[in-house]
Amino acid sequence: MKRAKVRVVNITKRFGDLVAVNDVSFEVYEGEIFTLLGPSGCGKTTTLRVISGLEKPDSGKVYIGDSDVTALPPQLRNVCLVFQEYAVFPHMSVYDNIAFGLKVRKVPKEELSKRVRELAEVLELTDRLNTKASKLGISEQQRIALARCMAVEPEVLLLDEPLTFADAKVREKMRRELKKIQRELGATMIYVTHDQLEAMMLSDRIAVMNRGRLLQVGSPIEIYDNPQNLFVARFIGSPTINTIEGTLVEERGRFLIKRDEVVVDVSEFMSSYHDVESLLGKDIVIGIRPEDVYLDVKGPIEGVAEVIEVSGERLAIHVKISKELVLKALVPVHEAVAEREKVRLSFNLEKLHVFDKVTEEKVALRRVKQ
Amino acid sequence: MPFLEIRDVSKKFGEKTALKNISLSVSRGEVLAIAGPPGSGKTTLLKIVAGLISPTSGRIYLNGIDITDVPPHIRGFSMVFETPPVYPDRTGYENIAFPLKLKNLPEAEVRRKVYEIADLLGIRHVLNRKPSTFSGGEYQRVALARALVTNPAVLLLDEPLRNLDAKIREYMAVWLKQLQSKIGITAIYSTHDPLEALTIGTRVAVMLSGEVMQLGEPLAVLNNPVNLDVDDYVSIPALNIFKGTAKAFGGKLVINIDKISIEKDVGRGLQFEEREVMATIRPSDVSIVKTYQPGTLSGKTELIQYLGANALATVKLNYITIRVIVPKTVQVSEGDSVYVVLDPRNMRVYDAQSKQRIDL
Amino acid sequence: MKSHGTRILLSALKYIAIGVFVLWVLIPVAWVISLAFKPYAEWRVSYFIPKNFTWNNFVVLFKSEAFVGIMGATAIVEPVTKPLVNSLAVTSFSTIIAVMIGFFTAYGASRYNTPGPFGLFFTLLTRMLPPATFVTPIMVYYSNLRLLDTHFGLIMLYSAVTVTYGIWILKGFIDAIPIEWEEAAMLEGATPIKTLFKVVLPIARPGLVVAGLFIFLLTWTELLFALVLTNVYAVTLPVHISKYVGAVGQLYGPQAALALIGSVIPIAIGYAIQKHLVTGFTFGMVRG
Repeated sequence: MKRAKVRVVNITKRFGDLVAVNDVSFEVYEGEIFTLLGPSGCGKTTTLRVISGLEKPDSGKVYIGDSDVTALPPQLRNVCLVFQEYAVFPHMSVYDNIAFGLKVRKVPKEELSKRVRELAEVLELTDRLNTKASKLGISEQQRIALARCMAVEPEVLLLDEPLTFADAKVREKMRRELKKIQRELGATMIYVTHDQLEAMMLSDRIAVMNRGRLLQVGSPIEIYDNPQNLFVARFIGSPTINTIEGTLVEERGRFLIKRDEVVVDVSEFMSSYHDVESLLGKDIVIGIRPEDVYLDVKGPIEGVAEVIEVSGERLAIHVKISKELVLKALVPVHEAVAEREKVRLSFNLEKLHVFDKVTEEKVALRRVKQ
Repeated sequence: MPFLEIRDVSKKFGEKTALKNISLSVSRGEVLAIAGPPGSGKTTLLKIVAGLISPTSGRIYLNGIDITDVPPHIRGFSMVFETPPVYPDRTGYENIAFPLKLKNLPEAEVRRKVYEIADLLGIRHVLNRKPSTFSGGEYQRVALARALVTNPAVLLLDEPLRNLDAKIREYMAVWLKQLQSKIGITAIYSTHDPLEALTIGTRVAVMLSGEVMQLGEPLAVLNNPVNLDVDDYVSIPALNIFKGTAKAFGGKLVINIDKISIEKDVGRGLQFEEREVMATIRPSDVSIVKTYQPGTLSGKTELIQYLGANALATVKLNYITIRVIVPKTVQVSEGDSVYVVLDPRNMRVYDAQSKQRIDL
Repeated sequence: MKSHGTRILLSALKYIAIGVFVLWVLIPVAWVISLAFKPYAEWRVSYFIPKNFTWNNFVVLFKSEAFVGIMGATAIVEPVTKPLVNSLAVTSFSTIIAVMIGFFTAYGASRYNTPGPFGLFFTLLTRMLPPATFVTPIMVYYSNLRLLDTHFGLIMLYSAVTVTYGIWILKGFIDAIPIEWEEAAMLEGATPIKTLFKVVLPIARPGLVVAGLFIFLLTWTELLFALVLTNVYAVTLPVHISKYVGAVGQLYGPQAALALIGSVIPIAIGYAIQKHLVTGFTFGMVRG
């Protein structure tokens, strides 16, 4: 498998008044799965299309390998794009689908047949080669689309939400298959999705985008554990991170976050940092992931279990603390509580994230050396 | 007496059986979630309840009265579809007011009701806008407002969140649940996503190829699936299923999977000869350790997929592959040697032919 | 890789080809406009800009005029007012009828699969034969029914031969409307008829407009049927235009002037309804 790195430098793309992609730069390493993640309209698909050459950027440059391809049309870029739908020709056999790009390029018959069979082997399609593509399920059709793409030996594989139309169960399986295939071939893959879980499960690195801007690039763990701003913190992770807005005050030597009647004591967390004083009196947003909130009979916060959300192998208990504040605690299934039951919560204060309310950026605090 | 009763309903389209002897009942104020993969007959069932399709056999009762032959516009039910009925040529207000205007209500009353429901669902700001400017969530809420504004006896929701972005879907599911507990409407909710069904339903009916396989409260269905298909369907991430043999005697169940033998304590009454079985264990019920301990199985991690709070590892053992949920505190990377801990208590055993549970 | 020079040459060639094609399309139109403002003496000369600019060609259209041509032959041409009104009336009525019947048939075809795929194909039959082959039987038929030279007769014929376009265009639009949108209305208390009028009809409006415009243009320019089936009372614009070509020779000037008037009306209608031509079935849920 040929593969190349991809570098995007200061890309901007406008559609009329709308700035779809705003000064975006990143680098995709050779042989990794890199995901562009964000909500609808964040510019991720446009970015992918700029890399593919289907859109021309208003400014900025795209490099594939070491060469500047910004001015090249898509067919000369040695990339391949798998779309959301219409990825296979339904009237053709699996073999003809995979062979399509090779036939267009007039590859000799022997070599063509050999390459199709090799790919079919990797993608487990060998026994389906003579079946009509329309007779197969979504998961197989996606593999065909992938095989068709790979047949022409692109240096970069681009995938635009290829699993959108599959149902929850099939998607989960496909994510695993896709990653296995990528590992086997060692291809450079750029993947676009709005589904944070998909991005987490599939990627080596993720770029989170919102409103045309690139907010953070990092491995799934980095992005999850160390979000650089409130948007990333909220977008990554399911159930969504708990946020408490309020003002930091110091009372009788304790650090408290106050908002209306809700008071959260964060002394333990704050005391392990320098320069906490600079935050006093400021409006801040505290973020804490649901798995770092525990049901704890001795916990300092009291509330009423409102909704029990089944989230994968665990339950997210939505606990209503006040009219404005609901906190989620992620607990194992056997710790389930009933709806409307009174519960108490405690936090893993090690895992608090602090954001500036106005800029929504993470507040950098210096940890006290222990 | 149940509020809504579906009694022994079957439906055939030509030769094809879409629904097979469905009997379900819904009490007043309850949300019955129907969970099943695409093509399992959920939409057909909802349309039969709505009166849009008539069943081949079986009856529908509302408050004990047979309504099977009552035409849909007299039943007084509302339905929200996967393609939500929000007409593109009308504003949000006109869409929500549509069913009221059909009933020729006075303008002032229409206005009052539309604003009331719009406030409840938090969509007052879209009333004067055309649907092409709505976001996915707003679109669904307008459809829901329109379904609720007539105060229907039963609300039917057919995959209402299917076309939304993942993040909005998660938010909307919880929002719907909160809304339901506020207004206490009776509803049937269909979805292909088992987790969504388990979150939203007061009770959940798992429907597979036109049959209700299991009916019960969410956690009961999650924890005690009656057969292999239900177990496989409700488990996300995908269930580990192993083909093997098992025999039970003297309070022990011995399961053999390839070269691995696992013993599970069972009731003394359980006794059978060696037979072919399917043994399953959920990825969350398996764990891995990095150093050898007696009773563990050695393997190599093939794939790591991050979920957030934890990760899903695919581990290759000698002859089988097993998926394991690994907490973030255990640091593994692809290609590491690890040891898998299988707790026999978490294993479920099903007969290979009948797929029924046999280890209880 | 092509060199810079080659690329410039290629793109220059591309623009020259496009330019030639545009001229090819525009020259006849320019000729018509030019002729309409030229006096008799300039009709057969080859320059575009009239030397003696005149409105006369337009003025004569509205008078009952006797034209004296070569060798003393005389032709009397009626004022254009009546054919203009006839054309407007006949075209409008037959378009409305064709679109409405087309809509109901298309709805049946889309939702209830009537009259079946073959039946639907069959409606194209009226368009499969050249009109010249059946215009004679129709003339005989109309003559017996006393429909010759009547507005009613023309309207009936025009709506019958264009309704198939209405059906096919509108079926595409109705197919694109999710059936759930109708089902929801039914649940909310609408009868099937009410659903058709209150839900499907308004949503399919862009389709009605497209089909209507298309049929209007076809009917507006139809010559053969009108030529054979009308004589005095129901003469339409295209027939009237053809009358300027007669025994007296070719009256290019008035003919061109009339052609201009005849094309202004559809252009005006097209302009007035263009905002309805934008189809509106998108969900407003944009991904990306």
